[in-house]
Amino acid sequence: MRKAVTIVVINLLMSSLFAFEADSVIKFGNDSYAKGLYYYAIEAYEQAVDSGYEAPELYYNLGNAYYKINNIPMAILNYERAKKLDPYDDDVSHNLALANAHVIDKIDIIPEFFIKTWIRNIVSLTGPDRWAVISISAFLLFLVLFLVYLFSARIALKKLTFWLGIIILFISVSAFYSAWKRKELLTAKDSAIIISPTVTAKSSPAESGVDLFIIHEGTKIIIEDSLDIWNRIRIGDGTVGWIRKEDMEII
Amino acid sequence: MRHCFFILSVFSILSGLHSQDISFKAYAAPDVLRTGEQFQLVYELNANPSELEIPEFSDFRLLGGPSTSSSSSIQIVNGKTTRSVNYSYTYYLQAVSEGTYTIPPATAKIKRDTYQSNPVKIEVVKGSAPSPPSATQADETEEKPAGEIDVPASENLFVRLHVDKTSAYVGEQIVAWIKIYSRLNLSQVDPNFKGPDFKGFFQQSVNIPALRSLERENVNGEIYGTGILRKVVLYPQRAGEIIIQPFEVDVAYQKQIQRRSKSIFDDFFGPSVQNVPVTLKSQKVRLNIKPLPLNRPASYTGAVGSFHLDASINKTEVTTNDAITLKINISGKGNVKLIDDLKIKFPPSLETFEPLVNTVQDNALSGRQTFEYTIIPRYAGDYKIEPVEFTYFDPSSKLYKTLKTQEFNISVIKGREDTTDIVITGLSKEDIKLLGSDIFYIKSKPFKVSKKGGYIFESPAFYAAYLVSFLLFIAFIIIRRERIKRNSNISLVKNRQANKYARRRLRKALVLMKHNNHEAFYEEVLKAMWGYLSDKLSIPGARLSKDSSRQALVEHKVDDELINRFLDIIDTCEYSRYSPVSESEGMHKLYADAINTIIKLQQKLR
Repeated sequence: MRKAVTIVVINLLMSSLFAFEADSVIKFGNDSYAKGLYYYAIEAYEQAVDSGYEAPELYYNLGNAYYKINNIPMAILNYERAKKLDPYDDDVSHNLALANAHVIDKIDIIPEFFIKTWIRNIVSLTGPDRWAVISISAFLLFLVLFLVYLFSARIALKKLTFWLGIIILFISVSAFYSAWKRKELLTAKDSAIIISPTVTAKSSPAESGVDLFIIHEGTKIIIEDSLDIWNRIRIGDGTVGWIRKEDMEII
Repeated sequence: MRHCFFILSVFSILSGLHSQDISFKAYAAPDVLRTGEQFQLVYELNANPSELEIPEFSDFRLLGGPSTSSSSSIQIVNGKTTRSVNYSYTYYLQAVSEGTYTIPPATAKIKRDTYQSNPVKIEVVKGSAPSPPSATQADETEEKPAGEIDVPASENLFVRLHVDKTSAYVGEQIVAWIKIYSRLNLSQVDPNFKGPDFKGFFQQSVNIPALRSLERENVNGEIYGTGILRKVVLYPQRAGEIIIQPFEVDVAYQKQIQRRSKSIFDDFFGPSVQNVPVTLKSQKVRLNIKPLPLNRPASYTGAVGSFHLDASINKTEVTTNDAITLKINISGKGNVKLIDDLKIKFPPSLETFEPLVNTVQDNALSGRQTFEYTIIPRYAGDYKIEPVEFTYFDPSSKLYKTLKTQEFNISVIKGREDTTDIVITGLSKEDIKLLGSDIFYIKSKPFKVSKKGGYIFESPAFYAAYLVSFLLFIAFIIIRRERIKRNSNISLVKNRQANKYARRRLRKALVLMKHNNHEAFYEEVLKAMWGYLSDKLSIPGARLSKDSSRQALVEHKVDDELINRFLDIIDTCEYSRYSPVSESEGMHKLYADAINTIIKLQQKLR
């Protein structure tokens, strides 16, 4: 028991130490950016990302630094990562739109089914952890209400707790679903940004495949399948082809 | 002195003459010669000198002179009379010994003022070869043995490409000229001669007068007739070694023909001459072109040379819609023509047009480029035109130099709206002009970073929370149920045993009755009655009273008669318990009553 407590304390200390280090690295990056030393800023932010930290602001700043040195695909990639973590940040959306204006490919995007968009928007209101806490709290409240319903002698109280309990149970289940869905969205590795200047999509996962179409750096794609070094991708207008994994970077 | 001038000017006006600047020139013709050759030394003045002092010609032999000549002309243009006079004094001299001589200036006195001529330089070489003829004057060369110059030796006739420098920076001016050297009777030069194509250069040809006569020049102690065929200014376009390839010129010279049959006519008409065409080839010229230093400022656009920048504006206080002209003038030595548009940052609310570019070439090397910007302010206000920057590379100091104009402040006041010109379509509300777009700035405030992954959701703790709360719920229900069950079990047993206990007590009471212990008897009967009721109806003993038991019995739908009998028994017991009188008859009756009541209650409360 004592050993376990010691381990927990050490872990807490370590994590706070690392967080402190990440903070100072990010601050260095911000200062470099302010002075116009964008390469330094990129190095600092990348270091923070490499050591396993993430925050929408971190990806946003990194995207800005890449934009400033005119590396548009990497800027788009990092903006997309920031947007994934925080879809409601207007700054990210603005800068992403500007960066996307530099992308060569003009693709007519097939609109998504509106309910799907709604669900995604609602689910993205908060992170999976908060959804999980909401779900557990609602479940506990439901159980308490159920007990009151069971052992109460008064009819009015029984009625009230019954209906309230059903609502709370529904909230708990919805929060559970939201937590699951949000986590799935966050951990999904199904979209990527093309980073090679020009990529030819093939009809099959082999060099001998027929050339289907050409896409350029900065274009966002959906990964549908993968085989060895090849990924089956779908672009915004629904066209499908096989391209190499090395030509893309997963968001 | 001033008095003097006054008189002079009055005199000039009276005589209706326009007074001129005095010029006093001296020249020698030819100025390159062989020993023993004679030449003329001429002094020219445009006024009549009262006194002329000529230096002594100690190095030359004076053959004759001075011969004086004068001319005068009167010109009347638009009522203005111009009179010019010209006096010249010519001396005939002969060169004695070789060397370079300078004849010092001569002095002339004109109306009490003294003027000096320029010094004259004369070059004398050793007189061995015959003197060269010039292209137009076909001088006879009598002493020349026939056939001596059948084939023109390269030293007798050649062309050369000269450059003023062999090493230059990219864009730096290089002057190149093609010169022909001749010791023969040059009669013709190809009029269509173009010269080499200067590959790797931007070239600009210089207008030179057509070749009419060759000038004498001393080349390595030999006198040649020389002439410039072509002159260009070159601007190197790339760095590295650039070779100007040899080129060819077609020329013709006159050659004397010796005839075998000598007749008097031949002698009479002089020796016959023949034109011989020759193709001359020039030498290769190597030029080393250096790249410009890399530390070029951002405003550098490629100008090389030395320049001067000035800017002027025609007005700074205008009303709206009134045009302003901003003139920027770049002048100097260098590739003026190649100067691109100056990047001027005008305030965005001023309407500007493409500049009018005007290039004036003063001479081959220098010129002027004028940019004329028309600015029309559409809105009232004070505007500032930032200083215009112009950067050039100075090859002599090997530095980039940046010139700046002053800044201009324009104040525009609202003019009268000219309704005939402007159609007012509504209130003058305008969209905000976007000058540019850029990404938003980074999030500079400290923010929270977290480790990637590690979600609470789907972690064991997450499911444990559900499980634990559900188990607690179940446990709560079970405990509650158990307690109820246990409670109900006790009362059931009691219920079942109630009759038995009551009978046991009554039996005990019967024993007590036989012993005539009436106090204990009544107490035992009372206990039996209360205990039965307590067990049967699950009412704790403490809460038992006559009222509560009556209520409980009513609830169990026991009829009033039985209740009354039951309560009567209890009353009797309580009453008789402490009564001193004891009747065995009463005890018997009470005992029977109690047994009957319990039997009946047992039947009712089953």
